[in-house]
Amino acid sequence: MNPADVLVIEDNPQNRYLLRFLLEKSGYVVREARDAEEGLAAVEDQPPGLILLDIQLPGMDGYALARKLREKPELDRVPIIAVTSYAMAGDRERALESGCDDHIEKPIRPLEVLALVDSLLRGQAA
Amino acid sequence: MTPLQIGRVVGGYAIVAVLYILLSDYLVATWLPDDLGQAVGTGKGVGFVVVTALSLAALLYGIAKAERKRYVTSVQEHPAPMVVSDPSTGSLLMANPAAEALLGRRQDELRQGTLDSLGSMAGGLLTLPGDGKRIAVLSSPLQVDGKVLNHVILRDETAKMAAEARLSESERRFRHAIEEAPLPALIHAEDGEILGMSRAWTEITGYTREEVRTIPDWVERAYGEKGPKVLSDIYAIYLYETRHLEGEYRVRTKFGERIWEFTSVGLGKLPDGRLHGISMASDVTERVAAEQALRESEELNRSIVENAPDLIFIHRAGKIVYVNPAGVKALKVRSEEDIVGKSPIDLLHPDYQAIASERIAKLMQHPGTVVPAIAVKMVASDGVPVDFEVTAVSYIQRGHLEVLVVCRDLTPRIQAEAEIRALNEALRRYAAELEKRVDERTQALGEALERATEADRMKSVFLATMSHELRTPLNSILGFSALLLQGLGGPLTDEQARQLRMVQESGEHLLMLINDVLDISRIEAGQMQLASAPFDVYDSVRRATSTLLPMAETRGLEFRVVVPDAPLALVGDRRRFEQIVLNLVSNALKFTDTGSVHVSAAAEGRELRVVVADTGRGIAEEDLAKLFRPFSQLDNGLARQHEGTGLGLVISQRLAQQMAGRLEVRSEVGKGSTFTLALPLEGPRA
Repeated sequence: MNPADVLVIEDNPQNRYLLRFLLEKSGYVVREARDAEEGLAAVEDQPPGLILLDIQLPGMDGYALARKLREKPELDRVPIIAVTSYAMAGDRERALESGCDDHIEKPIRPLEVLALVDSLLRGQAA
Repeated sequence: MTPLQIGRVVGGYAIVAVLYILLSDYLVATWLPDDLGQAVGTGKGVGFVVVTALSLAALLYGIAKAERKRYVTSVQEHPAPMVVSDPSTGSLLMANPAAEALLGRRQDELRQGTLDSLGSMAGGLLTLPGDGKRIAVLSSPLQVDGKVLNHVILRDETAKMAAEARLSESERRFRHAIEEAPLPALIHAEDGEILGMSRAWTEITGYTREEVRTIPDWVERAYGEKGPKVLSDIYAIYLYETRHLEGEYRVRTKFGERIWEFTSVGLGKLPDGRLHGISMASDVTERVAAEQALRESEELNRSIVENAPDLIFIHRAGKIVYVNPAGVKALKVRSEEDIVGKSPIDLLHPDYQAIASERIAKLMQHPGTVVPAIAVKMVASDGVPVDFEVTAVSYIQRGHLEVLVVCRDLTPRIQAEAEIRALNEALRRYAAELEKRVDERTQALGEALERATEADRMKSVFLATMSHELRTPLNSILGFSALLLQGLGGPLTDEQARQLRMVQESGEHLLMLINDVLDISRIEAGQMQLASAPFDVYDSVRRATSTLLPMAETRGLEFRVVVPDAPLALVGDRRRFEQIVLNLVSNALKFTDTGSVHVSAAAEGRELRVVVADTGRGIAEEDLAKLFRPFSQLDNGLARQHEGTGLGLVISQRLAQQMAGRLEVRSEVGKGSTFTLALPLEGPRA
């Protein structure tokens, strides 16, 4: 588990690219997954330092994926940040219930995302 | 002297006078010389006077003589004893034969004597010595032939007085008997006088003789208003000489009402000529009351039996002797005559005759036997069998063993039972039908619910998808704009930076529009869900208003937020609460050009009140109503001017309502507006 390794699970290529660009500019290693299946394969491959998980995924949605990820002992201490589209009240609660550590809303504020990722990974490292 | 006698005398005189005149005139004219005739003429006058005088004397004498003679004759011939005496001496002048016989003396013996000398005279009653004759003496002065005489009528009272003496004695005894009689009795006369009253009368009525002196006195006390009728009843014995009258009367005594049976009888004449009668009463009050009680008791018994809805009959020695009207009706016969005399067995359907005979035999064994109820069929006169429930009891009545049988018509019960069964069956069918329909309806409802749930789910999915689909492009627009503006993509020229900021601002605006449209869509679709978690409302107010500080500064407005330091917990949706506050305050800032915007929050009673007051242009009264209507701002172009959808207030109000609170506005054009958000502090109840 590399603390600088961030897995972005997001189906929209522009948004994937936005996060990759933002995080890489800040010195993180970014891996991408386009859906739940790829996400699971990626963590199988190697547990990341942090996961940015879009909730609105094709096929298995982000909540279900979060629960699945949390079942894996090797991901026990890996922070998962849910990215929601502010669709419903209780999105945040659902995200936390599903095993996510925090939650951000689209449209994302780049600096806020960076600050959150930094703080979670620093907490992890400490 | 009668006018006829006078006429006769005057007539005689007239004839003599006329003859004398005619004769003298003839003598003078024919026979006598003139001088003599002269003399004769003179003599004629004298002669006339003489003749006239003589005639008058003769007339008067004749009259007197006739009168005396006629009086004497009438006395002599009168059948009643009469004597004539000298009023001055009392000596008897004459006695007629009837008087001679009465007095027992001859006329010549009587003459010169007086009546007093014949016996003892007292009160106009002469009692003769010896035979003790009693003679009433009635004398009256009478003038006869110029002389006053004493005309005396004698009446033999001896027999009458003896009778009277005897009568009063019997009368006394009779009255005594009446007075001592043990029953109420009155003797009364035709004029109403009460002559006698029995002691029993006084004792029973309480009325004394002094109180009841006449029949009207009695009647008034005893009968009151009915008095006149009773009075005429009593007097009937006098008026119509029925002499006998009987009747029952209700009599009021001093001690209460009694019923008397009266017998009134006429008793004939009293010595004074009045009719009299007797009324006797026997007190029948107790007997009448007993009869009445008996009659009532009999009536009650009869009424019970005759009006009983059950068929009742009595049979004696195998024959029916009585059947009540219910029986006549139930067996459909014309009258009880059609049943009386028959054997009770004959009334029964053949199937039940054996058991009935057995029961009757049991009843006849011992009087007082009661047989329990059994169901039988009787046959009515039209041949139709009728169901009855029969009970019977035997008893002795005047030496006869009788059986009282009570039969209740079971038809209504059987019908009712059949109806109940039919009803139950119908009810059961209906229940089954209902159950079936409920099942069908439940299924339909389930399907409808499923459809509705599905529709809701679809709506929810649609809104979530829309939200996601609209935000995803904005995410990269805003995200990349921010990245580039922060120089993460490399240095930008001023022009590039300016243009990129335009992209960013437009993106932000688009985001705001999308948020509002999604919110109102959720609200309208019933999909707006509110979180329910405790949060500090004052902190929320501070946070929401702080983001607007720059805007207030830019617009040069006095911006004051007054919130208590101590936290105040509210259970609800923090973000939505902040959304409302943000909306109200940003509106105030937006629509106020000069002056101030004041925000305060405080608990008032069980309510949280957030007040946003501005000194802006205000809202006209006619526009206040439009304020909370969706898209109303879009209509008048304010949205374009002020960069809003016009949905902010609508969303705020709907959110406040969903939080069981309210959003109110007071405004005056030119002076400003005050919006108040009031929320219950205990949170909406589930």
